[in-house]
Order: sequence, then structure tokens, then C-alpha cells
Amino acid sequence: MEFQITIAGEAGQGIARSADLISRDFVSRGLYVFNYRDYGSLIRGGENFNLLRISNKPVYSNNWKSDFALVFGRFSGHHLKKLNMGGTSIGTLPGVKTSFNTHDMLKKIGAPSISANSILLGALYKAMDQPLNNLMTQMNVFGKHAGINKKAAQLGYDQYGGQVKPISFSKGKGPRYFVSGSEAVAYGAVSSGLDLYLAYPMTPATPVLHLLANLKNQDIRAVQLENEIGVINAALGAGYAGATTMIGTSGGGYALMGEALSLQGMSEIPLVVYMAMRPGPATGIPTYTGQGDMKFVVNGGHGDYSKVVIAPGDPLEAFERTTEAFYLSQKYRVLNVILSDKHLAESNYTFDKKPVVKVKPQRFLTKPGKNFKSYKVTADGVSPRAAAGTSLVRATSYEHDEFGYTTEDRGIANTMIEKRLRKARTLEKAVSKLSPVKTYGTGDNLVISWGSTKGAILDAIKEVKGTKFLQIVYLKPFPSSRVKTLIEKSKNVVIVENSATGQIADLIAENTGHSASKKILKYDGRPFGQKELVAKLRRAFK
Amino acid sequence: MKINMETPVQNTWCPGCPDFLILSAAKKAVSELVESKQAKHTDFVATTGIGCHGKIYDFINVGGFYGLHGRAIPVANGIVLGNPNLKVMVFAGDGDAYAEGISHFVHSARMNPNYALFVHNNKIFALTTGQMTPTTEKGFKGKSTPKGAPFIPMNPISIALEFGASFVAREYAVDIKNLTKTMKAAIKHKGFAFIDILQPCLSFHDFTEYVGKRIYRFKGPLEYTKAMKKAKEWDYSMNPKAKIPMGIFYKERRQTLEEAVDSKTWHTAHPKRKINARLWDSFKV
Ligand SMILES: Cc1ncc(C[n+]2csc(CCOP(=O)(O)OP(=O)(O)O)c2C)c(N)n1
Ligand SMILES: [Mg+2]
Repeated sequence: MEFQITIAGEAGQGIARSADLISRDFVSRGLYVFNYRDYGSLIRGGENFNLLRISNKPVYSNNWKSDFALVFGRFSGHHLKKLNMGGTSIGTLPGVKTSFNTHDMLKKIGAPSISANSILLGALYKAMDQPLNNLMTQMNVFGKHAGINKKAAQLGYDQYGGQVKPISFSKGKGPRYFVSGSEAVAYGAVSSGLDLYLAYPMTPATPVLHLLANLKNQDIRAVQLENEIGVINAALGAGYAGATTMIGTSGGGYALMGEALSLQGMSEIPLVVYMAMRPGPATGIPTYTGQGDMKFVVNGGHGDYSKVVIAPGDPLEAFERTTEAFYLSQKYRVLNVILSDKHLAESNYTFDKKPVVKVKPQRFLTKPGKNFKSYKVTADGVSPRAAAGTSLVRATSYEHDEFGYTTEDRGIANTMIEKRLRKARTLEKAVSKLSPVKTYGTGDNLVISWGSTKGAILDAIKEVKGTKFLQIVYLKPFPSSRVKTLIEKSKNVVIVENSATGQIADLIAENTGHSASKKILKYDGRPFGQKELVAKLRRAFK
Repeated sequence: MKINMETPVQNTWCPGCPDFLILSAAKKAVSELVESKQAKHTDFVATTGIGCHGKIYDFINVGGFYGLHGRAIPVANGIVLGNPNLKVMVFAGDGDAYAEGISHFVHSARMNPNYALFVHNNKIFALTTGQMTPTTEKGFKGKSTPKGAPFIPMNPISIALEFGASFVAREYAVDIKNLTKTMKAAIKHKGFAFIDILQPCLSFHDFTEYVGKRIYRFKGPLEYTKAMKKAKEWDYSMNPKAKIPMGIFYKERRQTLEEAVDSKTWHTAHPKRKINARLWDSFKV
């Protein structure tokens, strides 16, 4: 059993809220909902829409055609052409199969114009032959406005006389978690012992700032600072003072942070960066998705130094991997980037599992004595870390000796550079225990991808026989031998990436010597749809 | 108890550079505060930018963060957010604070983090061998401006006042007695305490004579509008008729950044954090 609902309208008409109510209703009854949000860079007017793919089996992606469409924006008429055979549409526009004069209906019950969506929701429930009281229960989130919205929904339900396509399913068992990538990163960070979150707003990273700033009963602080350069330098200052710190941004802000990313490499102050991509270059398409900043992130920061880049593929992983990001960055005093994108950050996924956390969050702070060596040379390249104030602790952007005093001495410079680079091997060992790659399915056809494309790929390969999916979760340190072996064992290899060039192919070539020339790419700011990807994979593996 | 303010690092400033005087004043201020038990030695932390001034990191025996050019201020903002009990001294250059890092300077004045900001204002990029900065007078002939600096200088004192700095002062490095006194006051002030320290650069921009002849002390702090008026008496040009007021222009107690966000000394407030995977449960529908 599977169906999809489109909800489209103008920004400010309650599109996202309606999608959330429907999602929560079906999830609460044990179904799996994937909620894709499509919105422009504007506050009022324009067009927003949500696609809700709903199934009794796990679904992690959307399709581009729906079975039901609620359309009530002036600019949403095009959705009427994106209905599956036998699909139906409800709305206020001419051309919809069942049209409502919501204006007059609302007037009759004395409801505000924002409640128009409740009328259409009621009608939709009738069209799906679903009990209205379920929706009503969800409407309680409206608080004192719940009553009038329920009234509007009842009116829509009663007055709907169009086509009914009953949705029938048996109630699913077990708990269901409905979560976005932003929520997972934010809560994963809190679970990892986050003290401070610093940011300058930039879509699609902003929801994490909002979530953490509004979090109650957790002793963490989220602070908006003057700009991204201020944010990252302050984060390093806070880390030096002993705080567990994360910052968040998107490509443009990450570019501004560049010099200080490199300062992290030299100062070795732990830092976690949440980097949520959108299509570039420059301002690009701000509210859409893309993976085109990957090489920039993997290679970013001037000079040679070790860092970690993790790309979770869904919110469950985002939660788990965020805990690893904190663990690795604190333990090995490295930069750890959690690489996400708009699609993962702002889509809601349904899970029936809890995250499995493999690491224990710790501060890894030592109690220093007098004459503390802030940069002690060690076999694994990791110098014990102390918080400022517990001794005369030093941190520096200059090359330095073990105490942190500036040096231009050739011998000391070599020793320190080599000490820092030894961390690369130490990190490789640590990361190899954290499942840096994941594989799904079996067959000679190999799909290689990373990040948010995971959802569509998992959903698609079920319909493409003999296909295995290799998900590269750790982009740095790169799990070279695992990737190499899998490529060598497969007949056909294809790269899937939400970018114009398929950057993972370059990373694979650099680290394994294998070139993957077949690529399925999408770079219009939209994620892969499930059926779309099935067709593209079939063509690629023909 | 006498504390050790010396480090083993060899000093590489030009002989006679007033940076030596700023260094001694800072050492004196810190040791007096520690020896009179007003603060602990290990509480002191210096952040610096990059430039001749930044070398002070290696010459003063306190905790230190040798940051990037222009970023001594945001690093300090983070330090007080991470541990509000630390006594932070920010040593920045005029190139640092007024050119590369001007956004941090003005916004930190508004945010009012609790630390002392000492700008070594030599009206020049010294370490890069003598180019104009935002406080260089129009007409200054440097390597990058052979025909003379084309722009008017900015006035960091009036800008700091305009942006809400809660302690604003000007001192002259050569007047080490007053400098030490004002530095101590700045360290003790709760909030963003800014001192623009005139520091002639003997190698690239020696304005010793100009400043030496024109400075006068006034009794501060003043009421805000009077402070602003006083700040505008000198526009950082080399106007021969100017008089240069020295002292504390303005001082107020206002909510600090750390107070505004209720920051904590996180690693002692929460020495160990337990994993709280239960947070996932809040996504349960
Ligand atoms: C991002 C960046 N740009 C440029 C430089 C080169 N640089 C080093 S010191 C300096 C100027 C320093 O001037 P100031 O801050 O006034 O310090 P002073 O040497 O005069 O004490 C510059 C431009 C740098 N280190 N980093
Ligand atoms: Mg200077």
C-alpha cells in the first residue's frame, strides 16, 4: 500500500503545517511517511509545496506524481498535471476536480482566511475515506485556534462530493519516530554533550539554530554572532576555554570560515561544523538542495592538516554520526564536519528504530600540571588537551614548539608538522571501527553514493534487480580499501550524486585509483525521485 | 607572592619599540592584580592578532591564544562564552582591529563581552613593513601609497562610543604609568573595555614628536555626550593645531554578553556528560 499527497499553495497559507498534520496522523497509525518540502526564497506569496509519500513499508524518498493534490495557491495549477492515473485534486483553483469556495465557507462559520487549508484537509480526508477525528486530534496543536479549524475541517469533509479513493491499511505495530535531518543533528549534538552552538543564519542550516535556541530543559546555549568569521573564531575560543562547541552554516558561510578552518588544524582545538549544502556557486538556489560543495569541504582550509568529514544519509544516521563527530573531534583535537544538505535537513522521515550510538561522549580534558605542554609530541600525534584557566594553556595559529611558543626552527617545524599528520593514521584506525561505509542489497551492479541520495537509492534499488548500493559515510579519512574492493568485485559501477560533476568520482579516483565514469547526476536543486531514479538506474545498468 | 611574568622566548621587536612599554604595563597590571589577590595567575588569558603587536603572546607569561590577523576579538568572545571566569586581555593591532577585523570590533562593542581590548595603534601595518591602516593620516607616504594615503582616517574612539562600548579610553604607550593604571581599570571593568594605545612605530611611522607635543590629560570618565565631544577633538590626522585628549572617555556598567546568554564555565559546570539517546524519544509520534 502506497500513495502520495501533494499540498501546494502560497507561502504563508499553512502548507507546511497541513503536511505536518497529515504526516503525524498516518505515522501515529504505524505508517511510514516521507515529507518533502519545496519552497522558494521568499516569505509571502510565490509557491510552496509538500509531497507526502505514505506507505506501510519504510519509504525514504518522494515521487514527482501524486494520487491526491490539495492545491490552493494562485501559482499551483501545474500540480494538476502531476497526478497519477485516477488521481484526484481538491482546491480553490479552476481546473481542480473538486473546487471549494473557501472564502464564503469560512465567512459562514466566522473563521479566518488562514483556515482555508483546514477545509481542504477535511475534504481530503473524505476523499481518502479516512476518519476525520484522527485529523482533529492532530489539530489540537493549534491550541486556542483548534476549535475553529476543526469546524472548518468538518465543513470540508461534509461538503466534499467528489471522487473517493479509499485508503485502507492495517495499523502498523511498534513505535514510530518522525524526524528531520535538522532535528536529528541538533538533538544528536545535545546528546553528545554540546555546550555551545554558534551560528549566523543561512539556509538550510538555520533550523538547527532555531531548534537549539528554543530547546528547553537542556543546559546548552545557542548564540547568533556577527558573521561567519566571528562565529568560527569564537567557536575556537570557546573550545580553548573547554566548551564543547558546534557551529553551523552553508557553503557561502563555510567559504568565509576558510581561514579559521585552517586555524583549527594548527591550534588543534576540537570543533564540529554542521555544514548543510544548497546549490551554488555563490548565492545559488538558496532553498533547494545539492551536493556540490563536497570537494570544497573535503579539501577546504589552507595547509596540510587532518580533518574528518562525515556525510549521514538520513536523520537516524545523522543522530548517530553526530555523536561520532563530537567524539572524534574531542578525542583527536580535529575539525569534524557533518556534511548535510537541504534535502536531508528539511525533509521528514519515519523510522521504527532508535539510533545506535557506538561512542561515549567525553570531554577528553586532562588536569594539567605546571609547565603544561599544550602541544606535546606523542606517538599517535594527539597531544593531551587542557582547558584554558586550568594552567597557562596556549593555542596558536603560528608554528610552535610543545609549549605553544612561536618557532621558525626547521627541526621543530618538521617535528610538529609530522606530529599533526600522524593524526591522519590514528584517525583512519579509529574511523575503520565506525562503519565508514555501508552496503545494501546484493548483485553485480554497484551504485556508489553518499549523503542524502541514500533515501532515493534505497527505495529505487528494490526495483532494480542485482543492484548493490555502497554508501560512503566517511568522506575523510576515506575508506579506500573497502571502496576499492567493492568496485573490483562489481561488474557495473555507477555514481549517483546531486551535483553537476559527480565529485565523489574524483575522491574515489584519488584514493583508490579507480575511475568511475558512469554517473547519474541531478543539479537542478531537486532531489532524485524514487521512480525517476529507478528509470535512470535501469538505463545505466542496461 | 611574586609571580613570574617572563617567558623563555627571545624578543624580536625593534629596539626601542613602544610595544616594549605596552608589554611592561600589561605585565605590571597582571602581576599587581595577582599579587593583591584580586585574580589568579591562571585566570589570565591573552588573545592576539597577527602583526608586531601579536608577538606579545610569546613574551607574556599568561595563557594565550595567538589567533589570525583581525580575529583576536572574536576568539575572545568565544573564550568568555566558554568560561566567563577567565580574565581575557585582547592585544590587537590597528590593522587588526580597524581594518581586517572592524566588524568584530564594532559588534563586540554592542555585545559587551567582558574583557579588555588593547589596540596597539601605530597607525601602520608594521609587520608587513609599513602600509597605511584605517587610522593612518591622509597623505602619509608609504610603500603602497607613494603619492600619499588617499583616504581620511577613522576615529576609533568615537566609533567605539557610537557602537556602545562600555569603557573607552586612549593612552600613550610612552606614558607607561598612566597606561598601567588604565589597563588595570580596563581589566577590572565588567564589559567591553577598550583602550586605543598610541604606539609610534620607530621603523615605519614615527609620530612620537607630533603626539608627544599635543597630548593632554582630562578627568574622566565623562557623561556620554561630553565623551563624544571630547573624542572628536582629535580626528587622527596630523593637524598641527590639534590637541589630543588622553584618559578614560566613558564608562558604564551594562549587561555583558555572557550575562545576556547566561553562559557558564562549561567544563566544570558539566565535567562529564552522559549520552542521552533518550532525546530521540521526543520524535516519537
Ligand atoms: C588574512 C591575512 N591578511 C594579511 C596578513 C598579512 N599581515 C600580517 S601582519 C599585517 C598587518 C598588521 O598590522 P597591525 O595589525 O596594525 O599590526 P602591527 O604590525 O602594526 O602591530 C598583515 C596585513 C595576514 N597575516 N593575514
Ligand atoms: Mg599597526
